[in-house]
Amino acid sequence: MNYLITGNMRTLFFLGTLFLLSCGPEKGERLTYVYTVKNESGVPIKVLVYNSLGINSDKPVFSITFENKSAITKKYKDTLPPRRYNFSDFFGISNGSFICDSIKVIYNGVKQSAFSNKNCTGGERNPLNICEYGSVEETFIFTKEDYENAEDCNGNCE
Amino acid sequence: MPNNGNEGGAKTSTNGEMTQLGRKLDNPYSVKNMQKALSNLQKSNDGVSTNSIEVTTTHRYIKFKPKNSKELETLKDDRTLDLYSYPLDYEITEGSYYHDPTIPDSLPTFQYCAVPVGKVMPSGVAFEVLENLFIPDEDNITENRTVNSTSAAKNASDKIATALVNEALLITGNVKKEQAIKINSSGKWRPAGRIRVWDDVINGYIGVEGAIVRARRWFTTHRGTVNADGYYSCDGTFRNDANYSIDWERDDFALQDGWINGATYNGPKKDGNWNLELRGDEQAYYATIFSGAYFYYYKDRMGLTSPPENSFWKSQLKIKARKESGTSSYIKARKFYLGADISIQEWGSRSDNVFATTIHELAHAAHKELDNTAYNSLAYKAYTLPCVSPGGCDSPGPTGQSARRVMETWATTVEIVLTNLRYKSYLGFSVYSYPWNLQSFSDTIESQPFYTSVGFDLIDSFNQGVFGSAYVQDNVTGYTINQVENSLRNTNSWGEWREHMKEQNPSNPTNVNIDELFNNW
Repeated sequence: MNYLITGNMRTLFFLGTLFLLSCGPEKGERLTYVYTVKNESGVPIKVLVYNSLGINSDKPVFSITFENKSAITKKYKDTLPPRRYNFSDFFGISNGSFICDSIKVIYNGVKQSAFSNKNCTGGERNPLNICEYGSVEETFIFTKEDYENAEDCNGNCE
Repeated sequence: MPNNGNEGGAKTSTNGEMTQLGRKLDNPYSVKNMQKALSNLQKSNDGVSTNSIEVTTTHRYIKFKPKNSKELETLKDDRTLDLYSYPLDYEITEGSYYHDPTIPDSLPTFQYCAVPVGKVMPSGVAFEVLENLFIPDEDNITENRTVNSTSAAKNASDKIATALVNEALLITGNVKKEQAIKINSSGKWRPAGRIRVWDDVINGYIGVEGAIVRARRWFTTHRGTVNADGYYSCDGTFRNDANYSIDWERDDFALQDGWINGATYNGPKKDGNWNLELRGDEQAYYATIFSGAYFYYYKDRMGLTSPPENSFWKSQLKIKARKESGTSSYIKARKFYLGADISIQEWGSRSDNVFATTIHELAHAAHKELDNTAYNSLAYKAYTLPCVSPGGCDSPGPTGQSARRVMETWATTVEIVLTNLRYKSYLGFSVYSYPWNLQSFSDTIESQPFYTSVGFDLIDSFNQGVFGSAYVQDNVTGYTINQVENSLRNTNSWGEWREHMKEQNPSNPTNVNIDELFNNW
């Protein structure tokens, strides 16, 4: 029996060794998250995005506008180690890597609601509540009831 | 706070562009040109006595030709060499790196430097002497060529050296006559400034602590280390303008760009301070990864085992900063064929995420340092075996899952603890809470079998079970991260880790609830 490793076998052995050596942290499935926000409140919405930790934390980092009956969907393919995705990322990431930990929702410039992503508060009407919204696919709808329940700001919302 | 009175505006960097070579310069420090300069000075009789000065070769201008990353490493291990990836007798533009166009991207580019005559060269690396140099030692030349430390002698030597260098610069066309007169009368300046990077959490700039700035004037390099506030001041002075640069590396680790080149930033040529504010570009990415590695290696890491340190037995750890969003990894063996132990793929991620992922991958490297045998056993079961089994890398069996869970849970624990430590204690954001601390997720073995909260749950005092029965029941608290790390020694499975925790910490009153915590997975 011939035990010599021929040219092709040597190549195969080399590639096989490389393949084995290439195994290590982190290998695994990378999830793709699909998140949608719809505006069915009956009025245009402006979402002001805040980073409460940062310098000038009382000023919004930026804003997103939703016309009435409009929707925005964002997809995100997770990295490894996994970082997941939630509505803080949905509102927060825009042309860079800004951070959102709270938002103010302004309805037609006259009413407002504020939300934070801290401590799973606010139930299902808080889009930033990751205890409610943290799955791979989520949709949040701003409803007429949300508009009605928002507090008046008498045009002084911003 | 260093300030040369020439603060200037902070500048953003160029964006990932390669440094370009401009005009080749006539070398004023060549023995030939220095002899000519000396002769001119002797003829001019302008009050500087140069009769006893002898121009001989003091240094050699060297081009090293490393054939592979191993040879490049050999060069870098010689701390006396001030290596540059571009030739030192050319004008250069600002840019991220330079790679000689005649060398394939997968191989190291040439390295240039000046070495004193008699210097023993690193063995096994080919080199070429490009020129013999005379670099006058300003502090030690006196009119009778003796070393003299008196103030008067120092002034005299300074004057002779300056006159000689200026004449050499003039005759080689590196300065114009009116500039030479100005330089003769001007004082020295110390390279200094401020290097900062944008942080998304803070929503502002923070110092790139630990980065080393180099300022080079022909064949002389001065260095300064950036402090926590971003300030640096170099260890020497120049009379003329200098090329600033940053190599994103320290003794124990080095960042690489796409292939095996060191990640660098070749800054401007100027006199006066160099200030830099990095944001949203490749250099900002490098700076943030560098900050993570610097923190793990050199700051207070709470007594945790260090990632591998550069020594006779171990080489400098390489971190490849890839401009991709994907799978970051630590694979020791990869160094043998792609050049980097760690690959970071967090391009476009927020700052604390990039920092944390760097910590996570370094934690794997440190785990291997803690117990090489156990780590290799875990890695074999967790990654190697599944990748050659029919189910593939993504579907390890129970043994593989158990091993993979130990490895990733530990790295996740270190990532959470050190990132919190950095933002809360070092950057002063006491309200910061690392967003991926896994305390708000209803994870199960099905939804997240590997990256679990167990390590951090052993340390923290919060029980996420208060959110509901679907959440992890965490009725343990009060363990230190050192206790958790110690329990990893001789750990080859999830079950062994649990048992080691219990056996080694009997005095903790919540020890009885460790089974419940681990059994969430």
